[in-house]
Amino acid sequence: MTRLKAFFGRRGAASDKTKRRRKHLRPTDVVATAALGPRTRLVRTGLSALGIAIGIAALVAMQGIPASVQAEIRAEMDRQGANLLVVHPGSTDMYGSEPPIPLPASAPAMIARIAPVEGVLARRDLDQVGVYRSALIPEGQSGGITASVAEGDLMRTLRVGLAEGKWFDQAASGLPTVVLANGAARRLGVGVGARIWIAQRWWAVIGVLDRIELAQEMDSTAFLAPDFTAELYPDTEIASIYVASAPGRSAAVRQVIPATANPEQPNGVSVTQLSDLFSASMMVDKMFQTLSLGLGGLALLIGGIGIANTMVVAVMERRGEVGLRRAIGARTGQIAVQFVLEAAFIGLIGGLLGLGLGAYATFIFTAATHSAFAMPLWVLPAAPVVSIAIGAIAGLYPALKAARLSPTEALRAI
Amino acid sequence: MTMGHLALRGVSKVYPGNPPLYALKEVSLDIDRGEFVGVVGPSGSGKTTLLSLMGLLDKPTAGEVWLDGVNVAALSEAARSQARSDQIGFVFQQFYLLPALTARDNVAVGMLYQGLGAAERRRRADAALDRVGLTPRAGHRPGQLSGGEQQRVAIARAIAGEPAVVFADEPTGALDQASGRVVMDCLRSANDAGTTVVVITHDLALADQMGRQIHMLDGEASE
Ligand SMILES: Nc1ncnc2c1ncn2[C@@H]1O[C@H](COP(=O)(O)OP(=O)(O)OP(=O)(O)O)[C@@H](O)[C@H]1O
Ligand SMILES: [Mg+2]
Repeated sequence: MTRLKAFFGRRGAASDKTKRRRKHLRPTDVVATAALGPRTRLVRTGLSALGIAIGIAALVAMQGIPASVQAEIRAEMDRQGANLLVVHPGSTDMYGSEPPIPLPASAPAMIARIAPVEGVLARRDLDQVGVYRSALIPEGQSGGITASVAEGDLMRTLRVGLAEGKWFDQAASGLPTVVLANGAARRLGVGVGARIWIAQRWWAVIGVLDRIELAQEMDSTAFLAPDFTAELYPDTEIASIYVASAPGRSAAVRQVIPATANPEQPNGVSVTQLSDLFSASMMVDKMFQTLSLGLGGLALLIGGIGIANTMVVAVMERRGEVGLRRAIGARTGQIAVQFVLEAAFIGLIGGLLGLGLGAYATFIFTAATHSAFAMPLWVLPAAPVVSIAIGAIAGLYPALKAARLSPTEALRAI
Repeated sequence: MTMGHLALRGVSKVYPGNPPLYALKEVSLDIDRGEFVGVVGPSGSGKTTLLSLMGLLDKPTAGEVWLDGVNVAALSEAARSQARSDQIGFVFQQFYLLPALTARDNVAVGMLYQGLGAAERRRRADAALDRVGLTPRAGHRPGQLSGGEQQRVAIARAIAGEPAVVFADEPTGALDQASGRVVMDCLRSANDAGTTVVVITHDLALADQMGRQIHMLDGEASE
């Protein structure tokens, strides 16, 4: 009898409008409820948002500051020669078993026409020719000094100056004259005005270079007068071409060099960059990124832990409120959502604070270094989104703890 | 035997432990619509436990709890939450008001989980505050109110959603006699308006004024 009545009673209850199931809070109520806790304890909210704020500020500033720092470093690297490319005869066969294909004589002129190229230098090595201080030294004991011909603007391309004397001019180029690299001059123990013995004749030293920092392999070279040497050794092949390009453009130049230098066999052109400096610059970039990510990430982690701690305390303090909310009909899920959103709300406050701080720090930095203020636009939405997410994750455990409290347990707490 | 609006059938509550604690022992009783019931008994006799089961805050270890013809002990947690928000009001000894909210907003929170809009909640909150005589204090926070006034706000919160039953667990326990009397008057006027009211009290003089008394002793109920 009772069961029958219960059956009908239940159906009757279901049709009753006061017993509609699963009522949802309106979004405005959800937000207002979640904001209530943080709003009530402003100091605590601010303090627990601080960790996130510092983390976000670090990441935001690291988006802005390294951008200008990296630009600065790049310019410095370029100044030092990271934009110097070296072109060699290459082998079409990737195992290098085929002999290298000589670079066409037209290659230096063609490369010089590439717009961002600022200096070209072609080097021809006279491998069989020894350089001697006097005619009395036996053949073969040249002391490791290479005789080369340098065509083009050596001083501009390799950024090297003269220690003394001069570089070849029109007249000197047709005479038996020589300019010594710094190392070669020291090894020979001679200077401008001396004579040295090359290819069975005397040559006059007209200049000595400073150290060639960018291409130290050339530091023990004796550069022979181009026109005069061309008549002595007409068929010397190009050993390498040095190409200096405008700052930041060497990658673009590098791409077009093979087809420009040897349009018929671009595969036979090998291009390398003065890679030590270049990879150093890449490493600096990487280091900055890693450092900023590490610092910011650490601060965010600590910030998240701070929020979690605040929420654990809040849930303990507010057991009574949890009990009351359950008594007036809150479902477990609604309690969980409330506390997760509270934590997310603290995170959001931290995120906005951090965004402002980070942008301000970047602004101060760029103003102090006279660089342009550059902030990637995606930072604007990313900072609040990330901080909300961290807050929500931090609030998850305390929220579940609150939701799992049974109403009677929660109400027993004073 | 017909069943009351609120009915317990062989309800037991055992708190696990060593030894297990039998807080309620096969309690059966019926409460009809509009009754004013006092629950009395010594400390630890199971009064609060009984109220938690009747108010759907907890599930019995054995037995059935029927509310409006539905065995609520068999309902899901979510359905019982919904039934609490729609049909039941609570008043506790400790008030449980939210300190940051005004009296009006505290009363309005009582209807939050009923799915009413904010304007409607506010309107009903004002009406309920009027019923407990606190209209002039609607804009004050709990910290600015006396204990008796705070408890009247809690009563307004319990009745604002127009529940069928209001449960009050020692509502005057933290109050002096005069404010206790005002609080009881508020509950009585809610009962006059048709709400079933169940009050736990230690005060036998108060209990004598109620329509019906249930005596608890060692987890067993008698009239
Ligand atoms: N969660 C619990 N776990 C274990 N024992 C409990 C629990 N809740 C209540 N009890 C025990 O159940 C018995 C009944 O408790 P209850 O709170 O219902 O008593 P009461 O009549 O309300 O007492 P008082 O007048 O002191 O409020 C007590 O012995 C109490 O210690
Ligand atoms: Mg009790």
